[in-house]
Amino acid sequence: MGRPVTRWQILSRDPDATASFYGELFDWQVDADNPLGARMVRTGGEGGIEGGIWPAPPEAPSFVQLFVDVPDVEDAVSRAEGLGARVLVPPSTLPDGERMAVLHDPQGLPFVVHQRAAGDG
Amino acid sequence: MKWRITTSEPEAPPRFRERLQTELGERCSRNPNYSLRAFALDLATDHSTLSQLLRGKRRMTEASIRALGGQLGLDEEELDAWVDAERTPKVPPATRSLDADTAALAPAWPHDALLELLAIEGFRPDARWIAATLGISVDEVGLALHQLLRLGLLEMAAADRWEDLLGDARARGDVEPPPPAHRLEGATLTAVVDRRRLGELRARIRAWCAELGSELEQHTTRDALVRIDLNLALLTSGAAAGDPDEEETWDDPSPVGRS
Repeated sequence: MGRPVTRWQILSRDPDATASFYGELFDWQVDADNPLGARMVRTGGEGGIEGGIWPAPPEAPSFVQLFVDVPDVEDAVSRAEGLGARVLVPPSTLPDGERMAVLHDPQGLPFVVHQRAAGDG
Repeated sequence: MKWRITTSEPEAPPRFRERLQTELGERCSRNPNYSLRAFALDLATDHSTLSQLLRGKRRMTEASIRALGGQLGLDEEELDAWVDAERTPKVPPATRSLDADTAALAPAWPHDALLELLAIEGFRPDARWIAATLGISVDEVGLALHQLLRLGLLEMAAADRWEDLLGDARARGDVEPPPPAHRLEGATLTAVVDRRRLGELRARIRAWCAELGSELEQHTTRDALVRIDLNLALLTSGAAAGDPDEEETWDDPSPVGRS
């Protein structure tokens, strides 16, 4: 079973400006009508992956995170910690039933391990 | 109930729990990538145990102090002092004490409000609903959620169950101005007073806060979130202010210790 990158997320100091920029540049469609208010991005076309835009913490610059699909978030976090990663946001269940955790790899690059909601294929 | 307290009076000697909280707050301040989980890893313990120790849900034993303190690089003398401090009889605080760094990373507005909102009737784990209820943007809610999760003050245990891990808490530090929206009542009183009776004024404020806190806890219906601010500021300085040592002091306990 693979561990595909299924989503990217831009953490922006100005999410509205970022959404406007990429929307105008690439005609990406942005929709924030979801329980976390996350700006979900549809890039259109085929062969790519969809993404999102989220506000960057005040103390951090704008950056990009990759979401890696895993069958079990806790297990992925344990394995990552064993390999030197550090947990920033512990495993959490989102309002739509998805589970996720935010980690930093040993080089300090943030990434997300993500588990689909039960029954969400 | 969350208290933010600004006082010029010295606080009681800290316990090792507060030492850990301070260390975590400092590390999070220095490094935006740091978290409770990272702290637990550095202390060679698991985050659940550390979270319980910080929340006062697990007793801080001598073995815990020596193991965790050792990981912090404290020497034997320091460890002995923390163990002695833990043994010193002290009225157990009813509330968790939040250190200044953590309090600065998660200021009262909107973090305290968001956590307290979890207990309101009809709460919905939905950033749009929270934003509309508190009168802030969805992005502000998102940032607050991120910070609370990172600091181990909030747990998203299930899709429909968020838990306030901070609980009843107090924090010392600057009290930021109240949010502008939804003000119901306000008063500012400026008066010339007897400096020697400032201690009495302080005590009255604390007693009033304690009384009000107790009263609010009796509310069985919880369908509104409020914030109450009360400040006593000394506006005069220099010769007109007299000798600070002449100020009368009162040994009245902090209101939060009794709430």
